[in-house]
Amino acid sequence: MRKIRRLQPHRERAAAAAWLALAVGCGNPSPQLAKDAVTQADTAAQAETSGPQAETSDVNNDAAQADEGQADSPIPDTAQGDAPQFDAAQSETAQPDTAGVDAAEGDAVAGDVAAAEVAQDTADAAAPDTVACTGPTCVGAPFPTWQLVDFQPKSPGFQKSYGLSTFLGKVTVVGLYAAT
Amino acid sequence: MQQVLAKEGKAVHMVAVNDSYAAGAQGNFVAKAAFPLFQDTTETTAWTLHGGGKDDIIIYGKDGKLAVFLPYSGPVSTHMATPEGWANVKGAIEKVWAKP
Repeated sequence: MRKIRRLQPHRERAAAAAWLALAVGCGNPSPQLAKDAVTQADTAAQAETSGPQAETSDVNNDAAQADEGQADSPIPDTAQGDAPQFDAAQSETAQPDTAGVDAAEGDAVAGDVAAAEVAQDTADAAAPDTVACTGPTCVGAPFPTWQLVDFQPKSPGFQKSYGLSTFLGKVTVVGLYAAT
Repeated sequence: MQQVLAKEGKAVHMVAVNDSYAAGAQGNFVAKAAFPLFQDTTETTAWTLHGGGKDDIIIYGKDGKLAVFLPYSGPVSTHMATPEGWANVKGAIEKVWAKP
C-alpha cells in the first residue's frame, strides 16, 4: 500500500493538470487528453525507473493482492471518483508502476554503488595506495647537505665547518633552536 | 640527555642548529650544552633544508635517514623543560637507537 501511495502523486498531477485545463477552457482538452497525460506520466516514470522484469513481477503480484483485498487502498476509490475515464488504465498500471519504481530504485542504488565502485577503482588505479612523502621531514629523508661552523668550544669540531655526514653510524638528534 | 643515554649504553650524537638571526646570543647557548652547536646562516638556511622551525627535533637513524620528526607544536610534547616532553624525546630516541 505504501508503495502505491508513493507513486500516485505524479499521476494525480498529470490528471489534475489535464482536467484543470478542461475546466478553465484552455486549449482543447478532453477526457482522452487526461488519459494521455496520465499515460505519459506513467511512461516517463517507468522510463526513468523500471524495467520489463519489474513489470512482470508486478503483474504476478496482482492476483495475490486482489486476494488479500484492497479495501485499505485509497487509490482505486479516489481515481474512480475523480477521473473515471482513466480509472481502468490506472488500475492496470498502478501496481506495475509501484513495483517498477521500487525495483528501479533498487537498480538505481545498485547502479550508484557500481558507479562509485568503478570510480573508486579508477582512482585507485590512478593514485598509489599511499602518497609518497618526499620532503625533508619525511621518514627516510637523508641528512640535508649543509656545512656550518660549530661554535661550541667543548666540541672537537669547534670553529670548524662541517655537516651532519660526520655523524653517520650513530643515531643523530638535531635540534633547531634559537639562542636567546 | 645525551649523558643519560650514554650511561644506559645508548650512544647518540646530539647537535643543535642555532637560528641564523640568533647568532648574537651564541654565548647563552654554549653555556647550556656540551654538544656541537652549529650557526645557521641566511646563505645556508639549514633550518629550511631540514624543513623545520624553532624547537623542532629531528632524529636520524644510524644510516643518516630521518626516523622521527618531532615538530614543537606537534601532537607529541617535546618541551624539554617538562618531564613529559623530556620523556617523549628520550623515548623517541631510544626507539630509533634500538633499530638495527
